[in-house]
Amino acid sequence: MLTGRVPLPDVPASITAGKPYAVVVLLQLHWFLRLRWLFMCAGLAALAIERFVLPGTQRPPALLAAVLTVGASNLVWTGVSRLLRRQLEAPPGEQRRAVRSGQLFAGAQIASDLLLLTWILSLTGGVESPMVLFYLFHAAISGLVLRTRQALVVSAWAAALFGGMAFGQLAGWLPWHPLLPHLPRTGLQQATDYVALTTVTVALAIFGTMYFTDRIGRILDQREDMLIRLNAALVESRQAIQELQQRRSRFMQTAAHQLKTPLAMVQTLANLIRDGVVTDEAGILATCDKIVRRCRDGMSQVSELLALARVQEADPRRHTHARCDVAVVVTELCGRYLPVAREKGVELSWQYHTDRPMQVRVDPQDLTDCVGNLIDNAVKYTPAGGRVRVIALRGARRMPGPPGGDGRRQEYVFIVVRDTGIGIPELAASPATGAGSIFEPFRRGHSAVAAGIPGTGLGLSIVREVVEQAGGYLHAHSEPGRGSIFTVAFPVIEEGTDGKGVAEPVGVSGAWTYGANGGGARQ
Amino acid sequence: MATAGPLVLVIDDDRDMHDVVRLVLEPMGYRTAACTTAAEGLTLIRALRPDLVLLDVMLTTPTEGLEVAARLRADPELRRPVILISSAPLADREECDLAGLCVRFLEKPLDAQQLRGAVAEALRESGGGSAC
Repeated sequence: MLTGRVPLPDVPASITAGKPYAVVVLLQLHWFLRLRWLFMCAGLAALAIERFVLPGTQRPPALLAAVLTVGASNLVWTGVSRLLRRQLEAPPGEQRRAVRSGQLFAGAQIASDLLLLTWILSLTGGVESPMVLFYLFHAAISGLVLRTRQALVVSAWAAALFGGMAFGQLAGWLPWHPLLPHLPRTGLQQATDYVALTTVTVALAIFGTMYFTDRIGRILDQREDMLIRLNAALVESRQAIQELQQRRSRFMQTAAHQLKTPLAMVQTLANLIRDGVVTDEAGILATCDKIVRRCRDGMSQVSELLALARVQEADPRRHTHARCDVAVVVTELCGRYLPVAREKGVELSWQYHTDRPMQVRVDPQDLTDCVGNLIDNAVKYTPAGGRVRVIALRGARRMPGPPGGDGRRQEYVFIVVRDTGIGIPELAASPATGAGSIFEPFRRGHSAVAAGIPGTGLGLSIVREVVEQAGGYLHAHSEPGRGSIFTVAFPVIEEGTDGKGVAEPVGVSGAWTYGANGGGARQ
Repeated sequence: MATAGPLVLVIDDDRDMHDVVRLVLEPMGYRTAACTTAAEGLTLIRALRPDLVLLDVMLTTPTEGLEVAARLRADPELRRPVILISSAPLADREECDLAGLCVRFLEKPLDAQQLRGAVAEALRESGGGSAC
């Protein structure tokens, strides 16, 4: 049951557009009912006290009838409001209708109350009665709760009732009864000037009160709307912060675990020598080699963690004014990985399928980390006799629609790293790069683990982080046993080029093929 | 006799761990087998029917080992004593959760005595016999 304070109902802003707080007021319809009972009791008490204090006072019998009619009408409204309350608790989809019928109901009550008020007023002094102030009370309520048009109708009804009563008594169509019969009569109700002036004044006061409360209602409405939106935004950001904290905490736990792994293995291996499990010289040497390798693993893990932390912690706006030549970075990186690839028996080649500048808006260190990880992975997971190709080209891509972009074409430099390695089954199953994918920190492909190739599971996270922060584009495709293709693209820094005749990537059933263009490959 | 000893299967993505287990347990009369992934592990359990499984908690995902242990417990054909190994210490709640999944929990780094003791106890408790 809706008694006492009712919390703000959880109603979508679209439903409550136009005095949302009215829902609360309407849910509190019992206020009206209580007030009416109070008014009736006060009226009856006043009549009883008057009879006791001033025994000779004559009141028209209609006055008692009018006061009792207030009670009778209240019984009717109580019944209707019980029905309506159920409707106001209707499911959200039907609340708009419920609010409308609630407003109609409130309007009907106010109109009926005004009629009863006028009746009582006509029996207690008419234009001379100070109870005329109750018209303003009703005008204020209608301005707050009803729609402007409804409030105007109610105000016009109030003014018409008062005017009708005043002029009816002036003309003698309605009987006039004094408010306080024991006082001398003023005869003001018979003075046309006074009746006209009072009627105009009361009408203006009614419309003025209605106007101001309606304005206040609208301001409250806007504030309410703003509060609802602000609250929603706050809830959203609190959730985002909580999620971020949870992610950080999980990341820290996993990172600590990952860093502990090589250290724990170093100690386990050292224990083998200390405990005399490995005693022969060859065995000790082999164990020492493993210890050294695991120390190296730990070091590279720390380096990659630091790289990821650097990318994550840095201000994403650093890319806005950054400038980096893809050709320089790719050449430097391929030169760095060439000896590693040769030693492994993997053919590493790189080509630029454009003779136009390849300046991109990415922090140079980030681009080096990003492309370096892709090349490192390609060389690492490609067995001897395999090939790794790095291709850079310029191309245009249509920006996604709002809010991500405006549908126009944007020039990118595409960097494609293609290998004939062991492939990534997880990518073959789903080319997604989001949550739960192989691009998440510390995720390693099943085939990489099965092949016993050491890795930190951080490389692709760094790649994704850089691409996301620099407003780039990432695509991955893999076929287990045949190889993988990773494509990253970064926005080109335009230098007066018109974008014609550039290479255009074409999506073909999940994979990407590339039309080469421009100058010959440099190698 | 080494060939007659209980068979211990190691499922750990760290190949150095395979060598450690082999070096520590084989001189004691155990036979060992090893693999790096959960899928291989399940295949080997069906094929070799080992007496004990040494299972790393963190395989390709941080808790894949626990999933494997749950599968071993759920399947009567695969069910056998499991010793979980991890480089992360256990929290209280995890300790309770693990109670049904494994007979022992070992935290890396390991030493020979600790590993031998845990394997011997686990096998003795499960009635799977022990090595020399």
